[in-house]
Amino acid sequence: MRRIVIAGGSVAAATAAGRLRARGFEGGIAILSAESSAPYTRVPLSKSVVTGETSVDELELHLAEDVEFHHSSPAIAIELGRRVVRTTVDEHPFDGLVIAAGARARRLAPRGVSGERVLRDQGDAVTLAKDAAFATTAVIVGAGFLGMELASTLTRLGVQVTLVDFTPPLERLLGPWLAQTMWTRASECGARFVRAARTVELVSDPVAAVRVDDRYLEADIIVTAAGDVPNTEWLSSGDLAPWVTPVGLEVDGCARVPGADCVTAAGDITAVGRGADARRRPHWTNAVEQAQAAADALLDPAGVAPYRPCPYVWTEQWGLAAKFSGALPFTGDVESLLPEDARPGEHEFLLRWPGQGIAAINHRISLPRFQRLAEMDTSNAL
Amino acid sequence: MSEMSYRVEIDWARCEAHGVCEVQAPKVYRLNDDDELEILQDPLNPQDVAAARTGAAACPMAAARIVPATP
Repeated sequence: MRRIVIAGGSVAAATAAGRLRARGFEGGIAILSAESSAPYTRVPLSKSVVTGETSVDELELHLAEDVEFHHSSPAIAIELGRRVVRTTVDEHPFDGLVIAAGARARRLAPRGVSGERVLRDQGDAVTLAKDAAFATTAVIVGAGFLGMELASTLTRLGVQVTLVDFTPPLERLLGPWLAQTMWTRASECGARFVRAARTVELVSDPVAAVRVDDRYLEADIIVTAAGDVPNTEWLSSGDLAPWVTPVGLEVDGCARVPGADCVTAAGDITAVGRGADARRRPHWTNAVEQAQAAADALLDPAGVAPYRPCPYVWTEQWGLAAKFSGALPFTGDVESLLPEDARPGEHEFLLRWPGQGIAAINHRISLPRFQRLAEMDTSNAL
Repeated sequence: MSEMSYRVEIDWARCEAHGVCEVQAPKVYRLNDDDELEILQDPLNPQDVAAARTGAAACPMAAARIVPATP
């Protein structure tokens, strides 16, 4: 293995490069990024970047030494026979490949219609920060983690926010108990929620309102926060087409793309498993761990073992720093570890759903300790 | 002595003590009993520099970086 190419330019790409060097790989590493800037963390975009407290220059993820970084060079095709990746600019030979091309924001407006805001990259966050300076109202379609974080941020900036979704905010992701806790706080902060029964669509060009069933919600800012779409189109007509599905690029538990021993994939583009069992894990900790597994699989094909995904996610909104580990959503009976009688709506606690997982809200606990606690619980429950 | 020497630099205003760095490089990063981050090596042992970089790159807040150690 002399030269490894990484197609993508975010945390999974940076982590794969770092892991290769950490394991002593001395060959060439080239990162082919679609973005115009160095790898950066997206985590603060919905929070301190939109408020202007953090500038995009502060988000950079520093690369390992001796890594070629090609910006504005999205990969557009892979030729497995010749072992080259083509970009919009040139082509790159490889002995090993990590596909980490990520995902993009899902949009609801038809192509060509302007005015729909999304939040995925640095540019989106800067645009929203500018919008927020002149806005008094916003409608956010999608009340998941991203929609709720952005709603919290815009509310802090003095914007009246209305969230729209088919299910109560965060409920599908977190389960009813935690969702109610978060929403109680959100509504105290002034957020509003409109539940859609049948239809949500964006109206006019540029977009000026959201139609929710028979109601029209007008606002200065209209944001879609309805999930992301894996960037697989460039793979769907090439050698890897059999592994491209609407869910993502299928990989096994060791981050390998089946049928191509020199090709791995990591991060938001991937779906782990086959067919109906394939699942996305579009979270920060998975991008990191899967990228390491990808690097390991290239360097030591014989010694690979499936990585154990760390089921850790977190969010910050409405003054609540919430961490979760386990098989979300959590349903059924909850046990309070701290305090002894936590109720929905309270703002500091450590909870467990036996056999499912644990949650910490405004309770400082590091990831290693949180994981030990989560593992203790799942093993006790078995 | 030609080996370059490195250390971890933390932007303490940004660190939120998630601990992803510790999971990546437990010889370099540790959250103590108060969940405050401690850097265990200064300067870094040459054999741990690469792991330290991996830990820094995994920080969701981009709060850590590896810089040359000033003699």
